[in-house]
Amino acid sequence: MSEQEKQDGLTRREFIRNGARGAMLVGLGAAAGGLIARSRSGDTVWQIDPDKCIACGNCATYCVLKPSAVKCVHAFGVCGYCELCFGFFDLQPAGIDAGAENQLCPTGAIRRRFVEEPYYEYKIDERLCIGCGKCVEGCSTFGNSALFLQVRHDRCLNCNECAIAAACPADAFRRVPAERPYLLKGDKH
Amino acid sequence: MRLMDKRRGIPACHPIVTRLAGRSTTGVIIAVVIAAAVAAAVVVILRSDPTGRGGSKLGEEFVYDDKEYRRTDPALVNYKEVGRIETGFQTVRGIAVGGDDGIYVAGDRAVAVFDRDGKDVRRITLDDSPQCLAVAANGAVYVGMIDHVEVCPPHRRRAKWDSLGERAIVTSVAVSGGNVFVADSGNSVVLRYDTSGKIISRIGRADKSKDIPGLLVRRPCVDVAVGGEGVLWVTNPGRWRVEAYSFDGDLKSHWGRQSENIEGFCGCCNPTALVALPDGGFVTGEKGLPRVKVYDDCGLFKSVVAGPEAFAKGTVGLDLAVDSQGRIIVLDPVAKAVRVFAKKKDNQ
Repeated sequence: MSEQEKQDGLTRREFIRNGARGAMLVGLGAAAGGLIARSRSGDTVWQIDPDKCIACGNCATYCVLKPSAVKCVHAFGVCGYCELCFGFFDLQPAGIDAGAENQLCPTGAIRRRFVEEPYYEYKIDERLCIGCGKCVEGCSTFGNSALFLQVRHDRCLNCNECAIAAACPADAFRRVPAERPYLLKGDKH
Repeated sequence: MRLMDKRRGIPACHPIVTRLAGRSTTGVIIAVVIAAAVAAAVVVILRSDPTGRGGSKLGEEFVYDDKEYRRTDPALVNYKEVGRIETGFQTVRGIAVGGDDGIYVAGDRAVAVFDRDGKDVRRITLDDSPQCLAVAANGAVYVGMIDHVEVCPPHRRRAKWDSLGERAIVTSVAVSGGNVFVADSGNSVVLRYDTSGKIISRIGRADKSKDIPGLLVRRPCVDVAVGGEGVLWVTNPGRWRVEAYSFDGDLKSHWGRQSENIEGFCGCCNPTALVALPDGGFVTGEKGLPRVKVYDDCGLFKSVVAGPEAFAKGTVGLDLAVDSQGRIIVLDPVAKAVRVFAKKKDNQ
């Protein structure tokens, strides 16, 4: 066997060996991926049923996280884009503008933007929202219930025994499949 | 003779007493510590409230407080409830009074007809869910379905008018002579039909040349009522007012303003129900703060028929009618019942 052939033979052997390793790794990866996918498909996470939620405020204080993993979310498809939004404005605002004294949210977590006369868009600033549900009550009382509370899964620890679920007076917390972790109002409207 | 501790030269009992005293002090300290720990644990457990019975404990600024607006000054309430009819429906949508003071209720997949005393007279079954209805002088019942109207004459075949399209949400029907007015909240327009189902004109669309701002519908709840002298009254809930149109669609006048106070219309969109009274006045129904109120022919507030105290919190979808005796007939969607209100006598 020439030096060149030896070199070729080593390369071939290495190629076969590396190929076998690679195939094994790919197989293991596929098997692991399949197992993870299968196990995840059976997983559940906590979520709030917006039809049952009464916006009592417990979500803000009973979560093990501070601030809570529960945030207000906005179903734009349901929203009336009201000029006088009762999720945004106090019941008797001094003026129909975004002045702090007119706002309902104690943490100033709702942003108001003019779209066109007489429509305004409202967005939740999740960094400021503590999930107290005050805006949810205002919107559901006087508006279209476009604002509602949801557990945000980028924060939620998915505790076995959710402290908020135990403290929920409306029994609105339930486990939902991890593949569909949100109960959004727009789905039904 | 006392035993002496020879090593210390004192009675033998002394060291023992001393040892006992030392043990006793340590025991007391341990007992106190345990008791304090138990007490602290009890306090923590009692204060932890894992079931949430104590509420959120958030400050006042986090509490939505509309109690003040849910109370009605009793002096303003000029009506009292005198009767109640259980409809037997799971869902109720609309109400109308016929020429004989019969009460027609649209719900589930039927129209139930009651006589003026609440006796169940008959049921008209439908293929789908009715949304609203009106009764013509000849007894024909015009039923607003989600996207079309169905006509149920007393002794003839039913007619089904053409669909108004995918966006259509029919929320009110009114009949006057040969005109049938249909409020399509989904398309923000009122359609004027003849009795054969042909569209004659469209009313309520924005038209700058005619100075008509247009119906502003943030939630499907436009209601229509026919007044005297060829006037069609239309609620414009997004603008918190009631507008008068000619049958050809010209805006003649309007009244109403936004306010949580009793004189105005509350929330984002109200009124949601309207009845024109024979004397030219109006009865209105609201959501949010569920209220039924009477206004005079100029749109000035007169009195309250029923305030928020009379309805369950969150009541949406009140519908109204008036009978020949001036009784206000209210369809309560939460109670799924017809509630009859009559004017109080002077001494009541």
